Amino acid sequence: MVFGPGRDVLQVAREFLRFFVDESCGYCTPCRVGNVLLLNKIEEILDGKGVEADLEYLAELGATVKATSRCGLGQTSPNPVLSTIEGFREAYESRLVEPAGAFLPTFDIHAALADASAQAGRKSVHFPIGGRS
Amino acid sequence: MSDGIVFSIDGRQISGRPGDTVLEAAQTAGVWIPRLCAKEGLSSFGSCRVCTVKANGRFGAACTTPIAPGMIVENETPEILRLRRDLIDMLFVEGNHFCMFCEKSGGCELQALAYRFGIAAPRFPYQFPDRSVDASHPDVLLDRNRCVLCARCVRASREVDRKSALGFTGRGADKRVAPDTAEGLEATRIAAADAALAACPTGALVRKRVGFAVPIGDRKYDPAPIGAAVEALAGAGDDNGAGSAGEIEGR
Repeated sequence: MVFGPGRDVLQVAREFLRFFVDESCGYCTPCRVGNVLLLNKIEEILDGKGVEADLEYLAELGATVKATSRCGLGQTSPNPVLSTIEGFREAYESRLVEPAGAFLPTFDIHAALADASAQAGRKSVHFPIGGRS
Repeated sequence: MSDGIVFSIDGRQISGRPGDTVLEAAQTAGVWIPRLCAKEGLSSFGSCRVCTVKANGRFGAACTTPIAPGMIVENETPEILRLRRDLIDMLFVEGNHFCMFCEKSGGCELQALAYRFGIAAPRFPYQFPDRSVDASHPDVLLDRNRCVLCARCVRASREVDRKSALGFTGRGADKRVAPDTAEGLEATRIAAADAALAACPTGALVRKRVGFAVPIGDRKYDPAPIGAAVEALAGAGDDNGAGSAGEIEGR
């Protein structure tokens, strides 16, 4: 498959996965669940919330979906992810971030505490807004 | 034995009857292969994939793969155990499985598999799907939050109860078990004594008002882990308390 140099392989992988999530019939577990999990992780990386361990996560999850799916759809749906990680690893790596502080980038402690803070009418003692994260 | 089909699982020679699946032949020989959607007395389905094995180098579901002479089956290799663990994890995050509040806790095959695989928490992110409960029937409760889409109730209702009271709607991640009428479970012919209810591996399709008739601690998988009853058939030494053959999983 050929794409021009202006294409972003992660966006290509995301579009493939959206297609496979839509097309999965839901009969077998790996395709029904696994493709959604793959798509979620690709979107996190595109969103600037990916960390280095996510590449291994994608490779392992993709391998599980390929090995255990019941039909050809799930047996091939992880290929766009697996082949782009293999062939264009730098496109993934350039988007990864270092976890800042104790939490993964996918977790925002202030957003998680917002409702509780509003109800209590005060800021968290341990995680005041603008404090350490 | 003489007219049996001889094949091997993890190097052990096993003789099965012609027409047996790998899962059936293994079970008879006392080799437990974990499964959710396969159940004795129901047609093979092959949807949960938890029974994935490697047969002659190819991955496949043991419950839908027929045995063949000389077939080499891998069951408990690190590679396959990792795949099964991933699949069990997926089933947990795909639904809303709150074991600590669930009336099926201790008798649930999904929970028992997680214990046996040492899963304390899934490695995948919870999906927290929006799933509905159908409590319209006077004696039967359908809680889709606990459903693993194994179709055991669907098949039991069709093949054993001869009612076809249940089926599936939707596709992909939106697939759900549904009664065969738009008016809900109440309008179907399902009854509390149906095989469909007994077939459910989790707490998705249960009888009302008997949730705690059997106390926690005395439930099916409280004394021995899932699979122990099958493995006791092989005569392995340390399976005391594994229960009789009549209590084998999937019967």
